[in-house]
Amino acid sequence: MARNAVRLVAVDEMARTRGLRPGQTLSDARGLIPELQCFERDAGGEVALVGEIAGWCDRYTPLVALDDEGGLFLDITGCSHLFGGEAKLVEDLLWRLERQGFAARAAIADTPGAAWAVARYGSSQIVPPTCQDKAIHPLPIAALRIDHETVDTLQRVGLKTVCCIAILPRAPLATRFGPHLLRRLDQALGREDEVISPCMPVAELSSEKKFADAITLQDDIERIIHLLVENLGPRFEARGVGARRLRLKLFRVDGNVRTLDVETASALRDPKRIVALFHERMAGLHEALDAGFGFDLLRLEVLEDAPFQIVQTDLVVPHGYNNEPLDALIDRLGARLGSDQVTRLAAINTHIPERSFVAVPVMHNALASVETTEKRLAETLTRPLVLFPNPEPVEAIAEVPEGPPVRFRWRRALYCVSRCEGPERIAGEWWVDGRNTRSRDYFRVEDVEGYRFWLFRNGLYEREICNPKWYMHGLFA
Amino acid sequence: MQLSHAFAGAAAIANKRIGKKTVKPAGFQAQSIAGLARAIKKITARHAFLESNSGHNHPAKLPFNIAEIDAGLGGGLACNALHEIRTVLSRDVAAGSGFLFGLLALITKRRDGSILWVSDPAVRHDAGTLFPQGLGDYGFDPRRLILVNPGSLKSALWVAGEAASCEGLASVVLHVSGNPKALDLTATRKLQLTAHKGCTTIFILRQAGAEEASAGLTRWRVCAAPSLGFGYNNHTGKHSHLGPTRLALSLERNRNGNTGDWCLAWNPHERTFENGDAANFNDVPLPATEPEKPEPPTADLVRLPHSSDNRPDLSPEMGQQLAHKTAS
Repeated sequence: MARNAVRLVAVDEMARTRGLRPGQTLSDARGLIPELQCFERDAGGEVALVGEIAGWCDRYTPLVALDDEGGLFLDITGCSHLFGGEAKLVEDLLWRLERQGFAARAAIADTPGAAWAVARYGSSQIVPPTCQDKAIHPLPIAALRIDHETVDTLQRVGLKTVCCIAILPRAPLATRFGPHLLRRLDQALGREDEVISPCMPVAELSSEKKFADAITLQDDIERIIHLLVENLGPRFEARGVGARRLRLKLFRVDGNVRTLDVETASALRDPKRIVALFHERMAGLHEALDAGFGFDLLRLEVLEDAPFQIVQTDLVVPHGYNNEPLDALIDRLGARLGSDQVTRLAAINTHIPERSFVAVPVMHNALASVETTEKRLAETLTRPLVLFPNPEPVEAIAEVPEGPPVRFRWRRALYCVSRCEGPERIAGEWWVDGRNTRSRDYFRVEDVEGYRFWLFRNGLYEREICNPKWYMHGLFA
Repeated sequence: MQLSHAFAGAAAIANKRIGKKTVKPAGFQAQSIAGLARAIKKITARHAFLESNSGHNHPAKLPFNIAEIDAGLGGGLACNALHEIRTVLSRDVAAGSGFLFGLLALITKRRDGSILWVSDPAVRHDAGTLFPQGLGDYGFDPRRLILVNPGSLKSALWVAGEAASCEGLASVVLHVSGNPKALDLTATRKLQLTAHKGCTTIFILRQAGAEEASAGLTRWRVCAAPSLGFGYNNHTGKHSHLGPTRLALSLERNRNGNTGDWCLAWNPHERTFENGDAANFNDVPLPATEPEKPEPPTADLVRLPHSSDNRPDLSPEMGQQLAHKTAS
């Protein structure tokens, strides 16, 4: 529903030849063509589709932005020569989109506004530099990217084309229609700068390879990655960096774009190791990489880099010394299993046992992000080897309320306590858990068979709670 | 006809061979034997050179410093090999881990490098997690531990295999539960070969697992044993405090020596294993009565559901009926 009626949003070529136009009400259209087939608009699907096309347009330039009306802005500054000029680029773009089944229009101009106007309302494809005023003056007023109400009002007073506005004095226009109209005009003519916001971050470094004949084999892909990393080599060296995070974009012939990301523990330049990472990444995919009819463009982007330290190696390598270093192994494991599955333990400054440590991915040097302490992780001798992150309730019988348990049942088995040490009291963190937090009395307990447990009573008897519960929290060796 | 023909041919070949041998001069034979001896000498020398010069100055044996055990193992636990540590019950996992961390502490005392701890997802259901503060008993810096949590046992095996040839690792631990099908003889043989080639010790920590044929050099069964205690209490007539950790160890399989049962204690001060029968590191008198040796908890466990459904060598137990159908 728009403007109080069900209206057509888009029409196909056949409907257009028979006189239907977008914006017409559905009842009018049915009046013209009774056998009209219509479908409800799927706005979400459209946005998703345009987003996918934007991803695909990445092959022409990394700066691709969505406009509000189902179009795309491509900033091709410095890119057109890679395709043999602006005309060739537009031709290639439209040809490929047409092969994918899209009817598309494109225009190249100095400003986003002029390109938008010419693509939608103009006839030419390329506006020569600094000629945008000539190109947009004859276009209808709607070409200025302004809302329907303003267009209607302007048309009612006889201002039908952009030219009519451009020659009018500015002050009365601004008072009558607001500053937006003039800003759009200025943006289209290049008097005011307009910035497009690209939908994807632009990589610092990237390298790509196009193929006349699409490739499908994983071996070929790996060989190309090797080549791409080699291409990046001089630029790495010039900047003194290595890659920390890499993204491989695989552009399939049918317009689909697959991305594969890998991370490394330290800055990396070695093509072999980077290829090994992508090898593991592809091996670890849940569903195999669907090559379809093949990939015709591969691009490797360095999303994050870090200073690269060159290490002096021995001139004489010991015989048989061909094992891989730990960094390389961690990178490969992370690429295959996901970088957060390879972790190291770090201490956190708290006395509550289950909160006192955290597993941080080895790959991110993320210790800084967690509030860790420099205190040694292992300093006491009275902590269990195995800890249950969620303490498990046990049914325990104690001789005296404050005393250690004599007998307890855990996981449906009964244990009789023969030796016991404790209590060791760990107070709750009221500044985290609030007023009702309870102290825990921990006991080290050994049963008659020699099993050793770390039990606690949650709450101080009669001071915090009248019937405290017992919990199993860990096992000693 | 055809058959006899073939026979005749074979006979002819045999004759020819015999003929050849007899025809040769005696001098040639002596010469070839000498050549062979030279070749053998050369190969063994090269082998020794490779062994000594393989780029790793890591020790080949890890001694327990307990005479009986070391004698059975030929000087200690072989370092570049696969070893299995299993516990019969889930609750023994701490005892198994304790024994393992004792060994890891001995290893890390002698060489640098991290420990890669790979766990099968099945373990995470009930086993709890490693508690870094608890590693203090073993003098083990938790920062040397790299924990890997793959999504499947297959990936876990892959990780263990890949890690075995990494130079920065002192040891690799594969923590599994029960007797999963994927960890069969072939898989363990692969691990044993990579461990041997990569000069890394690989441990399989199998909790709640049954005996299973494996290519590892040794298999240990570990369960907890009551400590001797200290702090004699006159009222109860008992030692009320927990003594040092004691483990009932049973070397069930040893490819290069004898098996046996021992009781070991871990000395957290010296960070070594000691003979558990006299383990008392706190300078307090031993209890007057010798505590009875723990029996391996096998007899009363027959009724428990077998955790090793995937063992290839066992036929399912017959005649067991767990529940009756309700008569409707």
